[in-house]
Amino acid sequence: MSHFVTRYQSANLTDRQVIDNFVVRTKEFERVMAEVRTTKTGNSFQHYVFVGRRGSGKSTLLRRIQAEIAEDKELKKQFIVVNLSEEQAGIYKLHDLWDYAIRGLQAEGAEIQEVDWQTYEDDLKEYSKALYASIHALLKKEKKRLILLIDNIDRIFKNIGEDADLLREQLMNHNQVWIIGGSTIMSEAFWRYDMPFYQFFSIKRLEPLTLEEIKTLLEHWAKVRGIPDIASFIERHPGKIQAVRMLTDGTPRTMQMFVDMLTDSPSEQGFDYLRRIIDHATPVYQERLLQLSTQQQKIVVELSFFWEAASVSQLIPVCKMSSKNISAQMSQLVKLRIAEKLKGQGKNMLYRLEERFFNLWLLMTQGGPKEKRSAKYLTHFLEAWYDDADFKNVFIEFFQNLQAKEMAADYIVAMTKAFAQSTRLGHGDRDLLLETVNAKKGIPKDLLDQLPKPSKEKVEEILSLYIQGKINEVVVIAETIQNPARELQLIFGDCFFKVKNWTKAIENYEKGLLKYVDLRKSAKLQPFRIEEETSARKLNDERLVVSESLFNLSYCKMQLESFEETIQLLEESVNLGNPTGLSILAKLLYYFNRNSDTASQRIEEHVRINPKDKNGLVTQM
Amino acid sequence: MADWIHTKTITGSIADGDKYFRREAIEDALWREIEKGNHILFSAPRRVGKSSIMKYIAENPRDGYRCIYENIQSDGTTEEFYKRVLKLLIKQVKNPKITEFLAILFACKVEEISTDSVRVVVQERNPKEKLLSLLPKLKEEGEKIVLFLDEFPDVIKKISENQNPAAAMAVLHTLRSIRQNENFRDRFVLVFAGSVGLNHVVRKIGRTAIINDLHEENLPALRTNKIREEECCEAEAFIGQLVKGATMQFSPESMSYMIRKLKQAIPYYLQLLVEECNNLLFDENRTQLSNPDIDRAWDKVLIENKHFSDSDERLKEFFQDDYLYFLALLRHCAHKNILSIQESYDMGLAFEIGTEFKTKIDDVLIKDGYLYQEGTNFYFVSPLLKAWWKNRHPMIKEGPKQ
Repeated sequence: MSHFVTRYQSANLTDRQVIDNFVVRTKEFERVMAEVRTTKTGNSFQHYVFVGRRGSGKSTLLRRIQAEIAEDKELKKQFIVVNLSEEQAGIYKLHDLWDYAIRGLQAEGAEIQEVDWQTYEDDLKEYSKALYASIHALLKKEKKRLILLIDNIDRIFKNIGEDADLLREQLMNHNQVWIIGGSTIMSEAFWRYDMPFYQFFSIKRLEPLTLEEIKTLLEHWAKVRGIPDIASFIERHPGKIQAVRMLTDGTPRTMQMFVDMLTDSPSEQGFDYLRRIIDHATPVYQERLLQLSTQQQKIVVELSFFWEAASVSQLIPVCKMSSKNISAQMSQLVKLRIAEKLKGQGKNMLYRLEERFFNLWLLMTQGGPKEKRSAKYLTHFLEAWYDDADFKNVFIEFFQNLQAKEMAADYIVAMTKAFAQSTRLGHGDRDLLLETVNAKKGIPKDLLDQLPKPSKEKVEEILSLYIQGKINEVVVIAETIQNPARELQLIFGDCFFKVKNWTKAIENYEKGLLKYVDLRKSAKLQPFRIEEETSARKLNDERLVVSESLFNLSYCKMQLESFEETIQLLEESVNLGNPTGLSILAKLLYYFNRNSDTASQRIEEHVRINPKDKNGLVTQM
Repeated sequence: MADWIHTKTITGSIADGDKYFRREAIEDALWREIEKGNHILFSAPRRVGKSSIMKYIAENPRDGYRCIYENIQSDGTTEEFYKRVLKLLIKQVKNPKITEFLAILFACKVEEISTDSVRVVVQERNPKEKLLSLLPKLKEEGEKIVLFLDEFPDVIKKISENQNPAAAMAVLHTLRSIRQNENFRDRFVLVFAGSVGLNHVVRKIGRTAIINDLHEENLPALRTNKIREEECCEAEAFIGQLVKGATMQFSPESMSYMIRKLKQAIPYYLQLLVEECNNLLFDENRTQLSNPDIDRAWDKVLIENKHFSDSDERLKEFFQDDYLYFLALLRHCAHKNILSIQESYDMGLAFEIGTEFKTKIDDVLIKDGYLYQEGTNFYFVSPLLKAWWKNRHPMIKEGPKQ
């Protein structure tokens, strides 16, 4: 029974099997079939293209359409269906397309006039016309129309080039051939104004399956294939559907790998789950990677190590390529649906690999020693697969097994690192785990050396470096820590600020300032009046730290053009007694024409405290 | 959901049968010129409905006329073009005397003309000569023949590129002399249709005087105002036809809201939005369309057309020197809904672009489908692109006054 679902490919099934097992993408199917059934003889068709990522179900949908017509007597009288999904590798020119269509028609029993290509050796355009004329004659004689199912239709358009004009002409002049295609990308052939097929097709996007659809699909597999483990799994872990959706991007094909894993070893946990799935996925993903250019491969692999999105500037040092080169290659990768573009803060664009599971596979298989040692992939998987409660349970079970059972050393170290890096584990539990593993006998020293340091030691080391002014070293450490202690966050914020990494600075400042919510609230209600003290140094340390952090944070926000937040943070910083913020605040309020009364008031305050700066401020206004 | 009746939208292919929306004013305008014996240049941006109108007229000719519609965009040489016209005319021949004449002309059997005229013409070495010999004979058909040649400007452009501009001009000369020949004048009408402006194409290769005898007929968007005693405007009637018999229901208010949302009632975009609304209600198993539904459908259509950023990138990449000028024009047109030639010229001065501003607009923004020209104004071809552009390129507010 194992791997049955993985081996389940629609191309190899009978029409009846395809129909019986088609439980998702039903609305897309019904929409097309409504068109097939209601389009009158002689009238034009609406041609369709389904656009969806790999594994989203395009081929299955096309096959379903084919099966429906084959099983429907009335439709069979009107249509002949030829499915070219398997043959696209051989289609370079329009005459190839018609040639394969003719072979398909012949396979359906049609007697079609042969066209001798040698007659047209010098004029392949006329050859294409002659082939089409042959199809036209057959369809006229049979009083039928041809539905041509073409998977990866974007590749066809890329190959046929200028022949696209003739194809469009033939489709427009004769209402006999209906094209329903599948495409991984939204080819420019479909939307560029100067291309023959501009807005010709009705484009239907196959979105990731919803939670409901995933559940329907899993339940169907459970029922039809007699795999009760799936059914019981869904019943026991309803929350897992969300994890499945996240890790598989809602694509049926990737889900099949998960189902295989679940049915083979439903009791296995984390690490072993993952290894098993990765083994299944390797042939497909390996091929996908090798189809890219070497530069693209490099970018894809380095991007995978970020897991979350990364900017071009973050990729430069690790890819060792110029910004222009990375941007150009990234554009291609986005078009190929390998990467996706996300909006970052301000004008920054961020990129990440579109298929999360492909990302996971890369982390596990392509990482160098450093990446593999870090076991980040395992952390990501555990956090995606388990909700908070389950995660805690898995941790407790692992901790108990650590003390009571024999386990392989590399497994212990990998899982320990994964837990230690997770944001879901508190520092107390983390340090206890690390202490226990470090004390455990039988684990080689070189493996123990890979373990992160306990939090307390880490904090002391970082504080020492910070006090010494070794900002870059602190930044290097900060980038490896997933869940820094609260006391470190403002320090990290300050260090990232100094190296102008605004995004990371903001992330750390915002988290660090959560500790001071009450102080900030009280300052809002009763701002600290600067003129009551002559020097900011008279501020108590905590207020100084928070005020300066807010000031720096506002500066970061300004760099990312979040002006509203800049003003709010500056106000807070000034309320807590930061005199430097006053002039900048006043300028910003004036520039954005916000509340000119407040702006004037702030200007007056600034001038009162800094009488020598009066002219400077006013001049700059 | 199994009983859901979908809307009758069709985009890309020619709308025919019960999917064709009658635009009687346009049909009548074309017939008026045809009946006068004028040859026509029928143009509009892509997706406005030219081909559907021509096909309808071709399939419903008035008494005394025989019409044929053909998309000819694959023709790329003079020989291919003349062979095409010859084939189309031969197919129209019913008079046995003319068939006999053709058999002599092509040195073949009479039956071959009827059954396999395509092969006969394909093998012909001098299609132009044969065409000119055939034309006078058409008088004997009795009925006047009207040829609708779709994407004709593309063909002229291709001939110019594949052969040379002189060859393309020669075709235009020949067609002009055919049009003005008294022997053919009352027997034969040519309607040239295209989304690429023929004037624009001809200007690149020669003098536009060669086509100044053609009557220009433009195809505007659907009317959004009622005239005379109409129950509803053209756009509303169009939507009404799309949803006739469908499960989805429009109220007068939602119909009016949809039209206001699009601003330009171009058939393709109305259909896109109606189809999306249909999908939305189909998914949610509801029948009555509301204004918020229309907003959601519109947002979905915008998201699914995210390739608009590529339209922006292409301008930046391929027209670096003029990008800022184009950006200014498109931004203005997106925010104000209209851009006049005068405004385009004025903006050009800021970028030190003089009188060649119009050529730049024609060669890039119109040719690549960003804008189209109506009279002395430009408009966005696609309301979706306009909405995207407006969002992506906000109007810069002036800074605080000193």
